[in-house]
Amino acid sequence: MTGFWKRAFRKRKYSMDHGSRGGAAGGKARGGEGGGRNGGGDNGGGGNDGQEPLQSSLQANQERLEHILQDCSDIVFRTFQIRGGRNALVVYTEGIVDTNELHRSLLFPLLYRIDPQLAGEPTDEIGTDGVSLSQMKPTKSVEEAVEAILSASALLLVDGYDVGVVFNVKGGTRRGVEEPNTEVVIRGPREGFTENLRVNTALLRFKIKTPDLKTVRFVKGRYTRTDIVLAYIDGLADPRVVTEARRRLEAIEIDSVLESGYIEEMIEDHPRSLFPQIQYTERPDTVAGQLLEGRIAIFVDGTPFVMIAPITMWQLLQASEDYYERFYISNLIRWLRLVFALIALFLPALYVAVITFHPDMLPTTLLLSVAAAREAIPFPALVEALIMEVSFEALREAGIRLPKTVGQAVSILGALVIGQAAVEAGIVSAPMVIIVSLTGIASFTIPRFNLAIAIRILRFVMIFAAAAFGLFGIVVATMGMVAHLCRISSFGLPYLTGVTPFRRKDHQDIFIRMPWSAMNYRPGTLTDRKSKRTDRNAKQGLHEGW
Amino acid sequence: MVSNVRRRSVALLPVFALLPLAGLLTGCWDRHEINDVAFVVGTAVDKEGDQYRFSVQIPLPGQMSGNKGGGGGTTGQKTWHMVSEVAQSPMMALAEGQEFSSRQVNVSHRRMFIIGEKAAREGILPLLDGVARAPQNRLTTFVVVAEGPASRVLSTHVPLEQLPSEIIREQTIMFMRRPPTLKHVANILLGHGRDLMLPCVSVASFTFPGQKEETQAIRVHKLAVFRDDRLIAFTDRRIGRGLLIASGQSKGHPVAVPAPTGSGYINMMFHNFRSSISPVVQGNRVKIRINVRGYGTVVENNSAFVIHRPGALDKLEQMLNESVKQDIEAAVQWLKEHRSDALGFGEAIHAYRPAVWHRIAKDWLDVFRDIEVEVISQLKVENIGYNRSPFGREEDGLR
Repeated sequence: MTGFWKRAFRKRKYSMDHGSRGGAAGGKARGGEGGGRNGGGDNGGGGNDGQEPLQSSLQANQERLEHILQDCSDIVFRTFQIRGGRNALVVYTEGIVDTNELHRSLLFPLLYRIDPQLAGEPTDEIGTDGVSLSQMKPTKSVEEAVEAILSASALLLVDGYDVGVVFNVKGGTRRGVEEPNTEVVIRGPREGFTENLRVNTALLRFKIKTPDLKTVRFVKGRYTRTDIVLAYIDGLADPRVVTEARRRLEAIEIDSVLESGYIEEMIEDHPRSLFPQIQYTERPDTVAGQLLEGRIAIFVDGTPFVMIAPITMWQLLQASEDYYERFYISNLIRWLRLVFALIALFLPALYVAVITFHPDMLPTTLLLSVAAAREAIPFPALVEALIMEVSFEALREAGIRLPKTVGQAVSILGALVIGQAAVEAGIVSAPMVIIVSLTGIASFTIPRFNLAIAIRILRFVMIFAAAAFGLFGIVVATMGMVAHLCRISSFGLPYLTGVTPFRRKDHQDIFIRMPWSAMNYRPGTLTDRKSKRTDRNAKQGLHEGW
Repeated sequence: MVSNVRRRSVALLPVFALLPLAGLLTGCWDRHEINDVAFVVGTAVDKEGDQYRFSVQIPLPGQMSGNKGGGGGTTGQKTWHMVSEVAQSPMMALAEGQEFSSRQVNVSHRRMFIIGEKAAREGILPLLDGVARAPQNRLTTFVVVAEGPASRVLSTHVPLEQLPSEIIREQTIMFMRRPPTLKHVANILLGHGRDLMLPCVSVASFTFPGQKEETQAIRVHKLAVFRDDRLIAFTDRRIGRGLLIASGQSKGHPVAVPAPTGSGYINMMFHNFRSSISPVVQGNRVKIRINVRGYGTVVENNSAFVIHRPGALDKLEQMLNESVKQDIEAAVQWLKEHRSDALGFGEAIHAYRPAVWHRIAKDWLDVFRDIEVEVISQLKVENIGYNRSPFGREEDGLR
């Protein structure tokens, strides 16, 4: 039975055709248009085009719903009699509904307080006047009713009327707003997104109080029915990007969305590229900042990670704190990151290339100490580098997955084994340990994990290129990488925008971060219409105190 | 457009699929693990009969650091190893010297090129080509001349540094401001109006009273002066200093002046100075003017002379400049006697007065022998040290 339900479900939201209505209609639904899916027996019930309507008999409705929701132990059916009047039914999902609220504002008034005058009225009258809940929506179709029940609403049905009322009594426990673990700042807001979509959009709305902040809702996932919200600021975001994002989101066909990563892989420009074309963040301030620069954000219910697009690679080397600390240190740290990103990518490869192909390039004394360290090492430099790099990656992976208490043991073990013992045993040389640990540190300085991943993977490509062809190999591999970077784009925006194609105005915020008083332009990359952040004239006298 | 690109990339797919296989074909023939390479840090060339003895110094990395890692690798006590072979040319000797080594000999880290006295006297041109031709070689290798056999200098062990070649290199840097490299040597040999002037390395040995063993040390204190590519003579220390200060190459020029009053000396040290050599043409005659300016420090005053009295410093500077002038003039005179234009007078004329140079270039060495040299020394004492009065003398005795 369950299997059949699933199959039918996959075809269309709810196929109501099995059971009482006979299997033949189900077959018809497979090939049929939207209008024909109900087996054609019942009338559509005005405006419900093609969906199964609610009956006026409470008994029939309850049977229908119980049938659809059979074996769902978390669904609660509560039948009662409205004070001095008709029979009524409340259906909701336990755990995701605030039962206290439901009891206080719906059951209690209807059972004890309702005006007897109202008791015989249609359902929506009762809903409007008898129930003190803020969000209310009448529904006439079974599909809508079921969906409402499953997405944390309570359905009220009254005997004799074919209209149900859906009340939003979202509740249940979810993680509260906490400091994001993945993006810690020293200076800056401490709040992070949660798994709750509406909390997340609220966090954003706290920061951007303009009606121009649009949040368009999509529902994706045939089973999960996950809410997805596309947020952008009307007038700042490039309308073409918004249209394209809508198109791509609408085109998604997937049975489940459990994390924003599901969506990311469906909507990025170049799914096969190593480089991430969508940024994700846990921080509302980052999202707000990006929206204000004319980008779009995609919220997915059930994950604290919000996606941002379109992005450039430079953006992945920036952290939100760059904009909060004073600009001197922001600039210095930005350059530091850039240098260390290159180190993370090239250092082991350079070491291998120089040691095995171009020892002439090292200063003599440095060469002699490296040679001294490598004297007793049984492996070629490439193998040595691979041993160290791979075990470092393994160590890192082990550290991430393990509980924190065990993780410490792993890091001690790793430091001892990789760091000291391996050198003392003469398996790897001390310079290689330095190279690998420096590379590890360097890869941790990249603020965006998804770019760090790309660099981690490419590091191995570089090592192999270096081992086969020396510096020549590194240069060729780098050329290939740069060519690829020049080719890819994020929602149509070239990945290296600002540098190539060159945009002078963007350079206020790529390699340098201008002070806010001089940051006059939004990145011209996204929209030219309102590229000015501030009016220069309005700032006259800003620094009068000098 | 997109489909076009896609079609093209599909067509190229086999190419890309085969591309990684090219990696297997490379064979990595240029790849040498660092522990299969013997790096030469210094070479010495001597002449034996009409053949050359070519000695290379190879550091033993395993001995050089305190790293006690594992087995294998080089063993022994000395931090370096010398291999030497005789052949008709230095490069042949090097090639044959490979037979003595288990590791690939690599000269890309040669920092010292030491020419033996005999080889230098017979001309260094035949030595240079092999040293400069292969791309491995550094043109920044220092070139020095050994007093006596070069291999003896290179194999003199002094515990101060780990490698003798490193000692010679450091001492050369201490001795001259810009020690001549292979590149400079080639430039001077190719150019006109200047002769080579290379540092001279010698081995000094001394015995301490009461000790039987002889202590050896490497010493750089003289210059080897060339005419064309042949060594003419070694200077003594005083002439060498005069040449160094006149050419602006001196790293520190000590001057000792007898105290203007009473006995004793005042010693000064000059680190910061410049010199210029320029021609002065008066009618048909060419005169060379050597101008030395600089600042120095009094390092010792063992007389009773009080330097900081009014006028005393002027007097001191006058005497000091006179002394420097004499040093330089003596050096120039020595050069004239040996008919070697190591200070580059001809080059100065060539640079400032090309027309004059073209007139006299043909018999330049004859002109050089009789050329008038004017030395202007404008050294100043800037710092008289920490104590103004002579240390430990009673004030009554001061003059």
